[in-house]
Amino acid sequence: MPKKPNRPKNLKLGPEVSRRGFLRGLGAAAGAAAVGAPLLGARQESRVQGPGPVKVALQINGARREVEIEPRVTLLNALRNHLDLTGTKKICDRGSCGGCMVLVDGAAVNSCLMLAIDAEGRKIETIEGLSADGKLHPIQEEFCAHDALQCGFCTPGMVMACKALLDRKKEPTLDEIREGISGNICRCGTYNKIFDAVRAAAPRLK
Amino acid sequence: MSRKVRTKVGFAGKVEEIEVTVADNDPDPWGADAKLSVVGTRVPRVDGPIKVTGKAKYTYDVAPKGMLHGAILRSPHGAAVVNSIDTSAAEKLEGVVAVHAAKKAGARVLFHGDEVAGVAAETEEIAQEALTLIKVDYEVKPCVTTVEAASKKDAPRVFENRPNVQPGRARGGADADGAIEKAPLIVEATYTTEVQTHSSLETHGCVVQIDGGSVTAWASTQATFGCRQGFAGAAKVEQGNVRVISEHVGGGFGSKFDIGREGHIAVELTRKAGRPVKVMLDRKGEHLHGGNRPSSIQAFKGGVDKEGKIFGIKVATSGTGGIGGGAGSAHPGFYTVGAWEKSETNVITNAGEARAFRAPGHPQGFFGMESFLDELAEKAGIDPLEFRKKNCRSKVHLAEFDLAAEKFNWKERRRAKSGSDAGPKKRGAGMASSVWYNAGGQGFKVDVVVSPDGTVEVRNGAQDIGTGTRTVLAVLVAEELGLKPDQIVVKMGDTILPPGPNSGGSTTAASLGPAARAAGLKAKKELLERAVRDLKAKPGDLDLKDGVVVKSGSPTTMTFKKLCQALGTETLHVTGDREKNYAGYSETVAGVQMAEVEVDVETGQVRCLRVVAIQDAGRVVDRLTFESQVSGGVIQGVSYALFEERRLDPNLGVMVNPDFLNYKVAGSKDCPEIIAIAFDVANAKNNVGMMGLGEPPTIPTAGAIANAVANAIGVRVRSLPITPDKVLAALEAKKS
Amino acid sequence: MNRFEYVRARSAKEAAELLAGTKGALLKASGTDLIDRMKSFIDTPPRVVSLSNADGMSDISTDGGGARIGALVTLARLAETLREGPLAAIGQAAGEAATPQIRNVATVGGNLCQRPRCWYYRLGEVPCLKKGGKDCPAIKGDNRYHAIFETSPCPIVHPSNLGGPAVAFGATIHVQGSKGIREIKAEEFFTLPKADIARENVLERDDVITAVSIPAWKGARSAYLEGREKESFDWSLVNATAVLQLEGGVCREARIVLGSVAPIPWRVPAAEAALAGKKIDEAVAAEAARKAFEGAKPLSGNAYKVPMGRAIVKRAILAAAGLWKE
Repeated sequence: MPKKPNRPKNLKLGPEVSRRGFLRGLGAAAGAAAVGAPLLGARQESRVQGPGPVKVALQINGARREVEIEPRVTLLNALRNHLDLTGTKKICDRGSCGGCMVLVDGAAVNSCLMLAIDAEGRKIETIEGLSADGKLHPIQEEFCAHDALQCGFCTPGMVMACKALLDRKKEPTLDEIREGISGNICRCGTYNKIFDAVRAAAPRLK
Repeated sequence: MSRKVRTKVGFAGKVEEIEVTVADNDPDPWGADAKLSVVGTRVPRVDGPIKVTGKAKYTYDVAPKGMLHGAILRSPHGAAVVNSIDTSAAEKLEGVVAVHAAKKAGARVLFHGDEVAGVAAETEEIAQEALTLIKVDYEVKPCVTTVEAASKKDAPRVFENRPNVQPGRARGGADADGAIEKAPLIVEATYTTEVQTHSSLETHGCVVQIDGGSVTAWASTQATFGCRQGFAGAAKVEQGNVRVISEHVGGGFGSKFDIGREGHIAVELTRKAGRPVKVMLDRKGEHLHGGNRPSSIQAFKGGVDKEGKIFGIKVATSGTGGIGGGAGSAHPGFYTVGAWEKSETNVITNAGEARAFRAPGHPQGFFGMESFLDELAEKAGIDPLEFRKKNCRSKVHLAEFDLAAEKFNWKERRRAKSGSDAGPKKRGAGMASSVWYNAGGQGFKVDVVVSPDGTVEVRNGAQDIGTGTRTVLAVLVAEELGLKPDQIVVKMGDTILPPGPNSGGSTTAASLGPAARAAGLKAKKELLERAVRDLKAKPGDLDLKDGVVVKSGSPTTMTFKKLCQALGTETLHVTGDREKNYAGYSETVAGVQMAEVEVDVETGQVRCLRVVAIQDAGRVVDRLTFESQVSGGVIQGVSYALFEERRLDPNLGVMVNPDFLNYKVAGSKDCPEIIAIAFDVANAKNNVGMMGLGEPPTIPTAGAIANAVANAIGVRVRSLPITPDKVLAALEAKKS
Repeated sequence: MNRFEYVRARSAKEAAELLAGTKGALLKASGTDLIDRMKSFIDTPPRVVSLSNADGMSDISTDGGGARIGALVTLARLAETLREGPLAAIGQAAGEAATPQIRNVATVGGNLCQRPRCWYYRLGEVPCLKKGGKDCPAIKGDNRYHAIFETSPCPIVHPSNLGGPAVAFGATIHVQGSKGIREIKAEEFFTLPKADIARENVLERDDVITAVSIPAWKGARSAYLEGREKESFDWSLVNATAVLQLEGGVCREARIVLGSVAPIPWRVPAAEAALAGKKIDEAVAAEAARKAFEGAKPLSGNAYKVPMGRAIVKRAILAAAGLWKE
């Protein structure tokens, strides 16, 4: 049987050296307040990275995790293929189903449409972080109690969407719940049960 | 050997006793009067916690050591001949380990998405990039994408050796024309439905690992045992050397019975690479070649009189299931329609083949028939509910009609005059029914294994595709052992476990449930025998309830855990067999749905506001997962009625919406309020009385919605999905 | 996606320079559109210049009735900030876009610069005019979601929700190029395929939008409405922005801009004229809506956009006047 090395030959270790010296050393600016801006501590220098693998430090569920990936790797693929965090699902891979939803700096984000390298320095929460202490989060408990899941494939994304919603709105109305998860597709049709689960979880999170 | 047992059957208080023939091996059936403590309650899904935490491992999540990522190159054309295929550049790309040309020079591709080649690489990104380096020279051929185009005399043939138009089954066979001609009122109408893709959220695919002569395949499937055969064939090994694992499955809906082309490609790539390979379809591949519900064109003619008597109905159907699969529509048989005549035509087109899809043939056929019943009722000047009651010979349906009308408030919600609401948003109500046929089948086994520490494990090799089979088995074994369902561990989805069914025809739970109950009962008997001496009892005096041994109806101090300690170092291992169904009370399950819609007559948008779904499933084992199944069926029905449509470009043959942007699946804001009500029928088809549930709840929804739209706006849209353009066109046609 | 080199710019100026430095380099804000196109190999830039770390483009100020909106302001934040007041149509348009999680990252600049959502354009394997092909498959193909105005040679509809309000309010788009800054009027920003098939706006490849400023519309009222198939995540079939200057219920000045009907945000002066000097009521709004679609030339599959569009325009006018609530 043909044997090939585990790693492509040209994959270099470590970040590439900047090709544009003039870009180095420009003053670091403070991050702006929008979701689109990074936390302090993000890399501030504008050097060219890639196209080969580069080291990317991600802050996931409170822990620093370093991966060595090409800049083209999405946050979703980094989580699933490089960090064994497979709770975050790949469903459409184009931002229209919410299966890959994670929280980045507290905001719900489709990880399939975000480059992992762009998530550097930001606070990333995945489904695995929600019950890190081994205890179900109230949203997860209510999902179980109300049977707000069937095949379960949309469920991690749904749970994260509900968390993002309840982080923002303590007592969402039914319409607000519908809106809050309107970017998540469930093919089994569990939506109505999810509405029930969110309404039951809301008072427990106050 | 068998024995005769008398058991109580019936519904809604109308109970009678019948005699059934029960295999000696099988427990006495639970009758209408059975006193059960767990069965029939609301039990949270036992695999809920691992699914809500993301810990459940689906095929997509499996990554054995050294695994490569696969990707599939697909035909960009609706029809073409491959003149040449050159994979050398792809092979040279760093990180690519294996390339497999699935089509050789001279081969034909028959549809957009037809598999041309596969690549295995170190990363997903490299595999995707490698696909762009495979050079294929195509000679593009003319293609046909619609029934109309493919049926033309001079239409290009999809298969050279077969005409596109294939006669299907003829049914009924009565002289409906003659009967219809005698009717004072005659109605003719044609209904159409579009192709719907299954759109399971976990796409098709597998991870294949070959060690010497043995194959392990993780597959996203609804047929672990079927796939064992499939992989054995693809890898050319004996089935005994293949293990298929499918612990959790992200939906299937009828599309995941075999290993598919992707399974064959995965085996080829694994062999070439000498390393495990994962091949999961991307969303586009899933739409293009992951199965679909065929389209339909249903031409009805029927006769009726002012009293609502139907003289006869004749229907001619045609449809396309792409390159394969029939396109038949199934119509209800529980209405008295006089002479019934049906003919069927299947038309081959250049598109991915149809596969079984949740109640194959039924949502489209029932949409047609239930719409037509409303049109007959309208012609006769009779309320559609009354009209159905006049012409229904199913006693369960008749009872459900009344219950639905009450829960839905039919009298109030049904508009006496269409369009009578003030403003541009008009409400209306409609109804439709369903029927299903299965009580599961024989030949399967469920093991119950009890350990001295009190752990109870239930084992079967079939898969739980999200329907809740695990939970049903846990409930039934818990019932017999006097435990709570979450105290039972259920292992499923692995062909090293006892044989189970493919998940088709709504048979899985009902095929395994009675075997689980039998195994639970056997385990109970064997355990209690060990307590007879300690408790100074006769075997018949003891039972298990609420976690303790009960003697002559009173709890003892012996807990279940203590009882199990008597096993010493032994593990109790019993097997329950699924015996054949009895000649029970009813061969079918009945369902009725009523829907309320709001139609914006200026923009054409339809919203479904409310659905009452009354559903019979024989004995409901778990009312919580029952509700989920019914609600889910309704929501898929809403989506089918209002949004879903595979669009093929008529000239290029390409699917223009192979995504979730423009292939529109109902979301949270599109869901009606759903009231799902179990209509309990003690049916005595098997020792539990379970019947199939997965498919029937999605059958009536589209018909009910279409009827509600007609009630709201006073004009009928006879084509699914009922999109704004069609509503506006219908309103315009009504004006002129 | 192809392999690309990645570089974060810390400012618009730096981004412009980085874009100029490599042929074919593309700018990425949140990437919700670019990454989608790259996954289909519709775009294969050798370099991606990321604004994820860029400074000075993430603020909104609403002093004096107008607004200055940084190009990196997210749609979610925009929807939250401009929910009420004269500029409400902007917030409504932002709030109707895509999904909550897309709006959390998608930016104002990115929304204005989205490439078309034409399904032929988005299929990597299908040639079309915008991808250098010889003809347009939509004209004789499935064009239900395509344009009804300016349908030749390429009947895309502009996908930006914010484009309509930007034109309606007379926004100015602030641009940083590698050679300096400039300002472009929103109405001159968008271009038709017949002018340049390869792009939808006048930006050069090294241009970076830095902000969008909206003049003050004191006392004005505005509304943005969509007609669509689904309520959850869906593209509008037709949308309309109405901005009205009212005095005692009488319209002094009106701006009506349609979306999803033409390759650019489609301002309809005839409808505006039909409102000027009139007391807004249903009949007046309906007449303006009728005028808005004069000259529409639907393709084979999208004639429905005319009646639906009339309803949407009528309602947007009434909503702006406080006479319609969804």
